[in-house]
Amino acid sequence: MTDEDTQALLAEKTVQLPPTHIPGDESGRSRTLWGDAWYRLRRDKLALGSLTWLLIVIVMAVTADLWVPQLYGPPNLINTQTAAAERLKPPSVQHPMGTDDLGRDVFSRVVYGARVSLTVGVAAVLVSVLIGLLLGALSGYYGGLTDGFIMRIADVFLSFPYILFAILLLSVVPASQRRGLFPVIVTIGVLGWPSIARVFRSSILSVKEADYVDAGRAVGASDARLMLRHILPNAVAPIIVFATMSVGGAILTEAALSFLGLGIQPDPVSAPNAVSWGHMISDGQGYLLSNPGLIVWPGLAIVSTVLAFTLLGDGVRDALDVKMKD
Amino acid sequence: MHRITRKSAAVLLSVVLAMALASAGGCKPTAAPSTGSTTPTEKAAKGGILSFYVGEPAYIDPYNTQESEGTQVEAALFDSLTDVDPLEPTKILPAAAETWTVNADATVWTFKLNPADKFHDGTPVTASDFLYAFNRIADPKTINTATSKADPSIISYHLAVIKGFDEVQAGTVPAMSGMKAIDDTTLEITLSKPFSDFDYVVAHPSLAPVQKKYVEGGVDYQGKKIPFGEMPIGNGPFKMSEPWVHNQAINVVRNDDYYGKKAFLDGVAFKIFKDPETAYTEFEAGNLDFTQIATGKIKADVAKYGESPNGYTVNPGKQVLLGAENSTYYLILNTKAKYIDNPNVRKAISLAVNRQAICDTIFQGTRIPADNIVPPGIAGYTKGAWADAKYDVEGAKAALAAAGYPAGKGLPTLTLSLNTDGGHEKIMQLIQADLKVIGINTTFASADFPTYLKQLDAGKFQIARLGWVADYPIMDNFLYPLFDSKSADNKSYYVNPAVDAGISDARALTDPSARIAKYESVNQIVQAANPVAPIMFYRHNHVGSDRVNELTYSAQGIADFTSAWLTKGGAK
Amino acid sequence: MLQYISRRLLQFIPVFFGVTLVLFFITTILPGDPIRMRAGEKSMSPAVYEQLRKEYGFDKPWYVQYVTYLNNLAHGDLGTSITTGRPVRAIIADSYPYTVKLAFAAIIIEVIVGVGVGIVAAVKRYSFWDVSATLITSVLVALPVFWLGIMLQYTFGIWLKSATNGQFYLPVSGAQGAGFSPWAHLILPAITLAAVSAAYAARIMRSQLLEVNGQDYIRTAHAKGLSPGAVLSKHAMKNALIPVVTFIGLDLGAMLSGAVLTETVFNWPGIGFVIARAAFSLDYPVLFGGTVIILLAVMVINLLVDVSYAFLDPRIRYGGGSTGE
Repeated sequence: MTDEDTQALLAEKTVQLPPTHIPGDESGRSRTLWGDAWYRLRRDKLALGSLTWLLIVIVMAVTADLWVPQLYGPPNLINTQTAAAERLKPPSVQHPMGTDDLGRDVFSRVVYGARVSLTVGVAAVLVSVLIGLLLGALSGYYGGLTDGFIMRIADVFLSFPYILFAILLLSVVPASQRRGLFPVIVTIGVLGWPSIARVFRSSILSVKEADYVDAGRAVGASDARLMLRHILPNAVAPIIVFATMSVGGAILTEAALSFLGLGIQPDPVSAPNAVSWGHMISDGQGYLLSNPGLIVWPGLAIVSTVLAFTLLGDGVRDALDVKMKD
Repeated sequence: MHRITRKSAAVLLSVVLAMALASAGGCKPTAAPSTGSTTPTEKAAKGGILSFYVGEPAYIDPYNTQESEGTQVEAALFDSLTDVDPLEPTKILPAAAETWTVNADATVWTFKLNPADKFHDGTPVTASDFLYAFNRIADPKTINTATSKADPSIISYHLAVIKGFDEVQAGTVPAMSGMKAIDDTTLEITLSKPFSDFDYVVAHPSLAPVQKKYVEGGVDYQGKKIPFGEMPIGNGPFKMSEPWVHNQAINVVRNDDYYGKKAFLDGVAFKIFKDPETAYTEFEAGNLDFTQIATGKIKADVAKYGESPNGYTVNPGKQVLLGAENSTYYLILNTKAKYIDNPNVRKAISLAVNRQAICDTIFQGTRIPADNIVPPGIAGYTKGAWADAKYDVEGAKAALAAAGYPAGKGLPTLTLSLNTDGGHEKIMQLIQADLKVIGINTTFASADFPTYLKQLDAGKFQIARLGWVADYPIMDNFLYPLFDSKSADNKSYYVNPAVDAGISDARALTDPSARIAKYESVNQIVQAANPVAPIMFYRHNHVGSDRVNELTYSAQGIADFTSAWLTKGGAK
Repeated sequence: MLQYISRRLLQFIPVFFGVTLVLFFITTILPGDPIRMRAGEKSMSPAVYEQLRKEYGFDKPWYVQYVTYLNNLAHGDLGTSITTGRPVRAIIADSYPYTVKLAFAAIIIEVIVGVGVGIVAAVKRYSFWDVSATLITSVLVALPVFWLGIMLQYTFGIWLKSATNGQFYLPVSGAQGAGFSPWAHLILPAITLAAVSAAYAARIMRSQLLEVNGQDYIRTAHAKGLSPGAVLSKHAMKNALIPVVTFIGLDLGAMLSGAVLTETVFNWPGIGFVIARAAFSLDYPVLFGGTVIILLAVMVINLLVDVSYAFLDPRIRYGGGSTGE
């Protein structure tokens, strides 16, 4: 399998812990919670290191257009005049990670790959969170038939082998529209909702019967108001932890899809600079003996980014969740 | 509960231990392949199993072998009526047929079978076996005995010239009237129209004899009935040693009763890999004798393993094969699409493409810029026969102006259609840049392969790409399918009665040189209209291990295992 | 218990219909034509095309195809592959045993290495071993499986071979081959498949043990003077194991549904790759048949996991409807 399955599964398992604070005076107690959490997070060296690394990667990816093509060359464009002479160069000042088989700068490709990976990772998780929150809320709050129906759909999604489902969903998109990041984001996002929905549903179940919710209901607060004002704030911590951890999984899924030839593709018009780390690895497979950099660099990029998200997720979980600390 | 846990842990432990022991035993490497010079006189030490990379075939039953994977295996198991010399595609050799004659207008072909030719089970090959095999290919209701459902051959077009083929396809009669078994060793084939190159057609590996009793009743193996398609019984130099192990291997051993030149090898292990990358990794690990070279590693491999002087034959130290293949990569210019229907626009597009740059940049010089639709390995190839298949920016600009679109003015953005798989994107990117230079703006319409095929079939494109792989090494196999108005492979939708008539005339000429001259005159009519823009000719990108001698991999991509031998009789 | 099992089996029905319906629906909106695909870049005779369309039922509306499919399925007929003309049942019978073999090998590694490391890390908390275990498992869960596979191939298949002058190395790919026992072929793919899961199992094991250790009854056990080993094996393990068993069970289910990436990298002839390739080439019968089979396998495993709770934790009862899910 499918480390993605495992990841979702595990994150779900470790996160299903009820929120531990009962806000009477919401604003005051909440600030204390977030303040405490931030204080604890700052003392967690691993989480802090991860955050720093992610910030560096984000800054590099965001500002790439300003310096990378100028210093190292464009990530995708093949220069037909120089390609034959420039191909497979070892690392140098001009090319810190060498060049690939078509004479393109590997560093430039790795940096632009970060842009794709981060965008896909974060955006896909946002899609999952949106769908998951909505369906999880319906399921947890109303229970009964609604709950049964939604949870059965979630079962359908979770029963399907993850990568296969992604392959199928992507093949539904006409290939002419399969360029750019959008289809991959939606596919990974759609596949991720059941886990979020389950986490949110169990959070709701655990606070639904709390006194303050009953009280709200007694004074005639509407369902939507109860949900927004009382239940959501209490379920937010597990969702944040779960989402942070899921970003790493989404990045791995994108890389796997690209490795299988279904992921991000550059398009001369809409996405001329789109590079996928997974695609770089599959392209570099034939060169591991002669030019290991072609496959090691994008591999390290994936590992370091995903690792940072996982460790940050661990840190956030520990910081937000009293039960997991000692 | 507690006890059970402990017990199962013990079981698990012992399993792991057993695994570790087994693997330690299994990790003994096979004897190191020897290096050092070997002369053919050492062939006394013949034998050994040559391991050969193929993808998982769809079929190895000859009646439906279309793709190269299945054809490769099937060609080792079966002999057709004739054979094309693996090194000289212009030479046709006897195979199951010892001799053959043709009447004056090339419509009646009489093949005398070799009486020594026997199937692997010892039954002599007779004319009626060919009759059965050919009708099985032509009949769209042919039953697959493994499923008892109709499973028609998708390569029935090979037989389209035989009299009665259309009736069999239409389902009105079960057998082609043009196929006759005069006696056990005489096969007479009557064609509906003259075709002087028919002896090349029947050389195709898929047109091999099969026995009805095995096809319909299955093959006995270790007391079980195996479907014929899993363990075909042929008449070729090798025979199946066990049923096809799907997704892993097809193992064949030498047929010692072979009527022709017996092989030196004990056998061939066709190793099945999902992609050439994994196969190449196995080759680098020393576990494979012949494989495709991973993309872009060709130059490094030439330096490491040495290049074969003739481009087709592997010998120690001369292991990399770069010989030309009988196939052409080309742009289809849809003559029925608006703007592209203008011959001068087509001419401009063809002249604008820098073919050398594509070959150098993307393929590191391991492909050849095309100057003809017919590749160099085919008799009748003339260098530079397609006048516009060259890089001439000024000429392209002039042609575009002559078309009424000076510097592209008045021409909307055109669409380049391509399939996303197979690395065509990089090629199209360069073509896009070249077209921009002369003022033609283009955008991509990419589709996955199944959708792309539908677009081509429906004619819904302006400029597209395809590669044509010849079924037989003759000019006709390029000119008829690609440019005859009756051909379904004519995706340019090019219609020219003079071309249709010229091909018919050429097919009736029995004198080879007159025939080739006639085909070339047709080729000249076509090239003036530029219904396609030939881009490049394919070349082999294969490599053999240092223990392989005299393994020839033909321009058609069929390996000849009968001459090959392994240094020191192979590793095992 | 029986009631619980039958209720779970009933729940399986809507999921089964859901998955197959979704699949059928997806195939109807796919633009490609599986029959046309057979001929590749060359054209196909119209007579053959029509015959094949009829044979595979593509001349009928999709809901008719769906009903026909279910009817055939009820009679044990999974259909015929479009690409190879072989019965789908034979294709699955060829490939599924390899998936099962790989899954169990990986699970064994996961149980021994994962649980073992988790226990050591928890018992020797904050020791060198604990810190290294935490670091290594963190890195492992961040590894792309296919990348790990390629690295292992080169390290143990190629580098090790040249470093030891061809004396010792592991097979690079495939499930059989000259010179190696089939077990040897299993080593690298199983490690690759198990790596991420084992890391998760270790992390769960560790955190569960730590959590259980903080509970009152464990403190009581210590106070009663039981040896640490006895506390661990008699009391702590049993309760800490429940989430680990859940995880490993679900993981086994996932592994039994085919490991597309591992199978691709290692040329392992399992069902994951067969189904993925069927999806690429629009070989619908293989796609449907393979999905149905792995769906069944996953369902059965999940059920077994749930049932196993009862043995691990007698407090759980499966009578009424409240504890389900």
